[in-house]
Amino acid sequence: MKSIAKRISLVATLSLITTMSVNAQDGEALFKAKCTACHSVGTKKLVGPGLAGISDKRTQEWLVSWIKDSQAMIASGDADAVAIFEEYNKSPMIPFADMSDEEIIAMLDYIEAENSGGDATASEPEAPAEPEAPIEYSAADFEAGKMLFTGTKRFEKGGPSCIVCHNVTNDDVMVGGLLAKDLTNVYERLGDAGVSGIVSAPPFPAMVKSYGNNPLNEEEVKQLTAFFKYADEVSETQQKRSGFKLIAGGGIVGLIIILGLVSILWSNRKKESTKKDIFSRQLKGNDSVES
Amino acid sequence: MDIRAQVSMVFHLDKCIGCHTCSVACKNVWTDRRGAEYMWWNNVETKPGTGYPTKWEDQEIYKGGWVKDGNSVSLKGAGKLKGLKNIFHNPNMPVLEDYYHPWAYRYGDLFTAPEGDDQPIGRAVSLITGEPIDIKSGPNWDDDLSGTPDYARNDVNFKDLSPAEQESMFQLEKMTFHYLPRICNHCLNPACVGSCPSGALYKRGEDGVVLINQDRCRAWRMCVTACPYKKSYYNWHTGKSEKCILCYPRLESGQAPACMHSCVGRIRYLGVMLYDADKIEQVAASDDKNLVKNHLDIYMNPNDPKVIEAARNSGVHDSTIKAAQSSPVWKFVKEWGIALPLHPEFRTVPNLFYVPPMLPGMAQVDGEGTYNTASDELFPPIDHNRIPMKYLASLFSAGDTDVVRHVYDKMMAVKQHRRNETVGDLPKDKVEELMKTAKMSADTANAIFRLTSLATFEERFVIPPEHREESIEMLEATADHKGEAGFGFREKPARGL
Repeated sequence: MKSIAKRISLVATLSLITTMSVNAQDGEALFKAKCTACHSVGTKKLVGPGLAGISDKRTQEWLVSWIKDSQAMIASGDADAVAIFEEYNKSPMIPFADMSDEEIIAMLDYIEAENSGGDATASEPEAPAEPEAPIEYSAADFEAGKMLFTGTKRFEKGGPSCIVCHNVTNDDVMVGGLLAKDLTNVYERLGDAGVSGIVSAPPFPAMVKSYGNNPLNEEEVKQLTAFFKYADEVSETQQKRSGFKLIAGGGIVGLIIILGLVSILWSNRKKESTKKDIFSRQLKGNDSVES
Repeated sequence: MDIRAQVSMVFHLDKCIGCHTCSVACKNVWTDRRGAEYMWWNNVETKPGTGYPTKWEDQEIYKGGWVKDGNSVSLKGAGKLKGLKNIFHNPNMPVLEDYYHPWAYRYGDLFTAPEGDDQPIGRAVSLITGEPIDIKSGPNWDDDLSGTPDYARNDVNFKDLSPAEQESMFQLEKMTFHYLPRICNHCLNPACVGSCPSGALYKRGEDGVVLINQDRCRAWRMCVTACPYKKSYYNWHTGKSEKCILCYPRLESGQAPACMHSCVGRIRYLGVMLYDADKIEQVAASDDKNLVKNHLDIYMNPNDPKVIEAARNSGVHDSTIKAAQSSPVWKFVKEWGIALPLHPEFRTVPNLFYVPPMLPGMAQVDGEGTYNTASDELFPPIDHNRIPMKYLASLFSAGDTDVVRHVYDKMMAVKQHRRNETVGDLPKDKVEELMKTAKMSADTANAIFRLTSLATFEERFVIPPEHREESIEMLEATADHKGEAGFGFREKPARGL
C-alpha cells in the first residue's frame, strides 16, 4: 500500500513539474502548430513576414501583446502595429489569447535559437536567391481538389469536407456553408504558400478542433491548393448563387409531398361533426327528411 | 386463479322514469366547473336515439374499444403504432358539436332591463365564449323521442334491422322508447387505460374504480377516443381529461355514489363482485357468440370456499368478501341472470349491467290494419313486444337474441307469478309453463320481485369497507400524517401514477 501511495505522489510531482515549465522543445512544437501556416522562422515571406531576428526588432513585451491580440494594439494606435497592418494589406493576424506568456516566450526563444544556430547553415542565404517558382498543378490535382472540397471524396484521415463551413463561388460546386470565410478569392490573398500553409496546419480554433487530430496529407494539400487557384482564376466568370431557389423550391416540393402523405395516411379521419346533417336541417329550406 | 374485487353496478331499466335526477346530482357534485360544462359523467339517453355524444355507439366513427386479434385483443384506434402515428393529431376525436355547445341564460337581464314596451328576455350565452349563441342541440336533445327523424331513426343499433322492421317501430301505434342511463362502466379491460400514452389512467386495486391521474395526464386525449362508451372527457380549461370516478370519496366513507343515492326510481344497485383476473384477456377475445357467457363466467361465486381462499391469498379483505356474498349485483347478474352488459362487443368487459326494459307488448295492428289493444291476455307474449328483440340484442348481447330472450322469459315469469300470487286471475297452468321455460322457482321469483320493488337502501347498496388505510399503509407511514387533511404518495408505484 505504502509503495503505491509513494509512486502516485512521485508521478503527481513529476507531472506537476513538467506542466509548469515550458521548455524550448515546446517552443518548437508550438511554433509548428500555431505559426507555420503564415510565418517562416527564416526571412521568407509567406502570408506574414519571416520571423528571423524578430526579437531584436521588437521588445518581448510588444511581441507578447501583439501575438495575444494584434487588433487591440492597432486599435490602440501603436505606430509599429499600424505600420505592419498597412504593409500586409490590412489582413489581420489571428489572436492567440489562449497562449500563456511562458509559451509565447518559449516560442520566441525557439525562433532565436533557430536563427543563431542556422546562421552557419546555407539555408538562409539561399532563400533570396531562389526565385518564386510557380508551382505547377495538373488538371487531375484540380479535379481531386474539387472533390475534396465538396466532400465527394473523403480526406484520408477523415476530416470534414471544406464545403460544410466555406463557400466557393464556382459553377461546378454547389453553394457552400456560411459559417466561415468565403474562399473564392483566397488564393489571390494568400498565394500558394499561404493556402497550403493554412490547409496543412490550420491556426484557427474551429479548424484546429476539426483537423487537429486528422490533418490533411501533402497530396491533399496540393490538390486543394490547385482547386483554390483555379477557383480564383475563373471567379470573375462564375455566377453567384445564394441557394435560395434550391431551398425555396425544395421546401415547396417537400411540403407538397408531406401534405400528400398526410392526406393519404389520415384519409379516413373523422372530418365533420356527427350532427352536421341535423344542424343543416335546422336551417330554413333544408327541412326535407330522407327516407 | 387471481381473484380480485370489483365494485359493480346494476341499472334496472324497467324502473327508470327518465327524470335525469342522477345527471343533475352528478353535475352538481363533480362537473359544475369551468371546462367541464359540457361533460355529463352520468347521462340519460332515450332509446332508440343517437345518444350523447351523437352516435357514440358507432365505432366506425370514433374508433373506440377493442377488436379481436387472434387469441388476444388490440385497440381499434390506438396502440403502439397507431398511437405513435396519431399522437399529435388524434383523427377520430369527438368535437364539441358531437357533445353539444354548453350554454346558460343571462338571467340578470330580466331584472336589470330598463323599463320599456317589450318584455325583457334572458338571452342564451355560450358557457365557453360568453357570447350569445343560437342553441342547436343539447346533451339529451332526443329525450322522449323528440326530434325523431334526426335522432331516433339514426340509432346505431338499427344496423341489424331491415328497413321494414325499422319503419314498423315508428308507426304511431307501435312507437315506443325506453331510457338508458349511462355512467363509466369501470371495465375489467378498460380501453382508456390501454390507450393512454402517459400512463395516467389506472384501475384501483381495492375496488376496481378506473381513474385518471390529473398530475400525469398530458392531454393526448387517446382515452377520449379509445373509450367506446365515450365516458372520458377532455377539460379544455385544465388541459386534462376527466371521467366518472364512481364517487370514490363517497364509497370510501360508505355512501352510495351521488347518481345512485339520488335515483328517484331506485333503479340502481351497487355491490362487490369477485372476478378472476387471469381470465380477462381470454374473455375479451371471445367469439361474438360466447362474449356474454364468458363475460359473466369471469365473476366467481363468493360463497365458494375455493374462491374465498384465493381471494384471501390475493389480499381481498374478509369484509369485502362478505360484502360480495350479499351483493345485489351478484344476484341480478349471476344468481338470477337477468342483467346484461351494455355493448359487450366493445370487449372492454364492462362492470355496469342492465336489466332490460319490459316494453309494452299490449297493442298490435291486426290483419285488417286495426289497432287492437283488446287482448285476451293481460300480459301478451314477449314476441309481441313493440321493440324488436334484435334491437335489444344489439344493445345488450352483441346481437345474440337468444340471450336477451332468455332474460325476458324470466322477467315475464316473475311478473305473471307475482300476479298469480297477489291477484290470482291468470290461468295457473300457463304461469307454471312460463316458470318452467324460464327455469325459475317460486322462491327465486319472489326474491327477484323483492329486490326489484321493495328493496331497502342497504339491500340496494352493499358497499364494502374500502380499507383505504391498508392501501395507504403500503405507501405511507400513516402516523406521520395523522391529523393532516390528506395523503400523498411517498414511494411511487413501479409503473408510476
